[in-house]
Amino acid sequence: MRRLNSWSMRSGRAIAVLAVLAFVPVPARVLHAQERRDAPIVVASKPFGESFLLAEMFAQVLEGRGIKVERRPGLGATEVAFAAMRSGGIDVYPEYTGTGLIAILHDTAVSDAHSAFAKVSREFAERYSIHWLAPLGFENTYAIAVTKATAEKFHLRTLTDLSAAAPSLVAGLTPDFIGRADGLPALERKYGMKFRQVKPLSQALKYQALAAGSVGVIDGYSTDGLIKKYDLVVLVDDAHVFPPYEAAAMVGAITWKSRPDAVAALSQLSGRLDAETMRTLNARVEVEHEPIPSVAQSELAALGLAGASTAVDNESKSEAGFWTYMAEHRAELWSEFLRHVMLVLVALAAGILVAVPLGLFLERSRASAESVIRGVGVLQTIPSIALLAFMIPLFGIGVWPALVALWLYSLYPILRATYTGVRDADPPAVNAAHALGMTGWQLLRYVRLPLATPVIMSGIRTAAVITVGTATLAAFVGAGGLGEPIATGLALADNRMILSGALPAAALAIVADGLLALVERAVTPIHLTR
Amino acid sequence: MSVRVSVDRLSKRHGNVDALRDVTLDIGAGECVALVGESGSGKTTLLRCVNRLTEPDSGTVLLDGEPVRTQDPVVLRRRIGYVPQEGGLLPHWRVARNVGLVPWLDGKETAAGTARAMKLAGLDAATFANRWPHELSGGQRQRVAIARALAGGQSLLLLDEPFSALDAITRSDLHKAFKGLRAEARLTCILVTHDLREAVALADRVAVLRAGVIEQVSDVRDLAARPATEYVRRLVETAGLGE
Repeated sequence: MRRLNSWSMRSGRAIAVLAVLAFVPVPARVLHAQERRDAPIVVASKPFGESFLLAEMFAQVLEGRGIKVERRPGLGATEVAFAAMRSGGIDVYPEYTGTGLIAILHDTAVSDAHSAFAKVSREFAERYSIHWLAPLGFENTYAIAVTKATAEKFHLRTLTDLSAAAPSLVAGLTPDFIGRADGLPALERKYGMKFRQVKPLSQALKYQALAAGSVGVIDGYSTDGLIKKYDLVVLVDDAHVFPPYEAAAMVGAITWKSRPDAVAALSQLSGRLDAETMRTLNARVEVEHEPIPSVAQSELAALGLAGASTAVDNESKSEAGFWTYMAEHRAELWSEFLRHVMLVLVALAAGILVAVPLGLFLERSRASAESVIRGVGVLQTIPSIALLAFMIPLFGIGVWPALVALWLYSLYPILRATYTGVRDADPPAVNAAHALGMTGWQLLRYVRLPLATPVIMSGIRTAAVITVGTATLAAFVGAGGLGEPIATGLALADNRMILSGALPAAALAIVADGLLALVERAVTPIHLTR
Repeated sequence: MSVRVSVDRLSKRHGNVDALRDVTLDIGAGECVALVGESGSGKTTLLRCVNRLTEPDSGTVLLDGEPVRTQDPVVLRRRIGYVPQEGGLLPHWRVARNVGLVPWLDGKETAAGTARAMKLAGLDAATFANRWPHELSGGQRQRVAIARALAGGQSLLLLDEPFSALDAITRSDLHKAFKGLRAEARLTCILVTHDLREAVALADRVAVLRAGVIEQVSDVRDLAARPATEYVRRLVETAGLGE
């Protein structure tokens, strides 16, 4: 997930420009250097455990120097985090050189760590005025792992060793790895790797599958905590096939220029974290479910760096059951729930306010109707995360990009239902009323619209259910909502946390659909009610 | 009061098909003319040219000498009663509101006017005013449609297969009601039907259309006695109207 970046930023920009034309721009968070001197440093992360942990360490190091910090963890993947940084919405987040090269610079030629870092730090400074601090000291690249038993049986230490044993092994690989040019195809090309069988496995399942012996080889990331938990052997990439993924703090233009104190504080971490340390820390977060702030604090203390002066909220790690977890976190969950409801209500209301009148208007100018509706339909095909990412240059991060994206998603079902509903309303009745002298607008107002209400309501119901679901992604742009525990839970492999967001979201979708069904019944014309 | 309709050399093509070819027909004030023909003969197109639901390619329709082409279509349509095949009632409006549609559009509807129109169509206002269309029988629905077509004080009535979808007994009742109506209110009527017997029973004159051309226009009694073409002769024969 962390390197998945199929959507190019370039085509994103084109759609973002269209989006600007499509609605009145709401002022983005435009920030000037002067205003920033006392402003908190916004520390962000991408939505996976290691990124959360590194961001928390950044935040505590800054706080240790008395610098005010605002935390924005879990921004949805590279497009979102990078777009937020370019627009000045966030000031620092942990990034990997390989991701910078491939996902942002679209460059796959560089294969050694040193020149990769040199390239991204030069190019980012020139193109985006964004700066890479010196690497933290570890790489998080692809790791091909086997169990200790397998390694001993086949005498495996390197990937060259593995290529000899591959014909008798089954590989369980993530679909992403199987497809990417720098994944399995690169192994086949450089090592002549030919497994007996390749099974596509999800990120969450592959370690269990390996431990259970249903596959013999998996792909992972070199700092995965689970490598430690299952005591796996990571094979050495002796032909240097995998791109270098050195972790470093990436700092935005304004902070770089006007906050040398922050840059100095963050630089203390450069070169201090090695892969073994990161595996241990990741295991504490993702396997032991230790709270991130306390893991960060204890590691900073071990490194001799001043952490936050105020003690972090050291909630004891809890292995309690789901319901106990829900009860313990009910206050936060309730507020995320309300936020979720607010996001859905506002986006849906705005969607109705725009799509219903537009649908009615299109009935009056049918020549353009199909092309307009199809145009709106294209929005539906933009992946949610990509759409959210396009919103960031326009609206910054937080609630606005989420609302606008949700609003855009709600338009199509409502528009389509409104237009077809009024267009196809009871033809004999429409024809008779027309023949007796109703004007086109009177027909729409008094005949087509009332007869189309059940169809329009079904469109609104569809939009509502979609919006409740999609709103869980709002967390990726820092808008909160029930996606917050889901995203964090996914990142930390904490099922209770995932469920604490997913179950209320599912319940909300069902309740919203049910309530709207009642509204639908209330507005359905009498002759259709039996 | 009632309207004289002159159809002058009307032509209309739908794609490659001649719906109407040079059709000329005069309908006197207070007269009822039936347009008879099979589907596709152009009879409904002719009807729709009168209230400008369809615009002809050439030719004119005149109402009391005034070409309809120069009149505002909405104003024109509100002056002309229209009864489609299956009523076309607005299903979300009660009977009284349906009947009062045209006066309401002109801001002139009254309960008394609505009741009068319902009475003309043989409906008791007290019984039916508050019913919903879906609570009515097919015959009652057609009576509501007729009342609606008259409630604006229209003196020209266009009827497009108004009784075709009814069972035989109801149709015969409606035929009686229609004759009563014509006796009471002097109405000019254009009745589209594919049923020659119905045309003969209800109209003063019959115009037989075939492939967009009028084969014969004549008095209902003359049609059977002196069919002008082989087609008309067969039509008369099949309808059982010959000797």
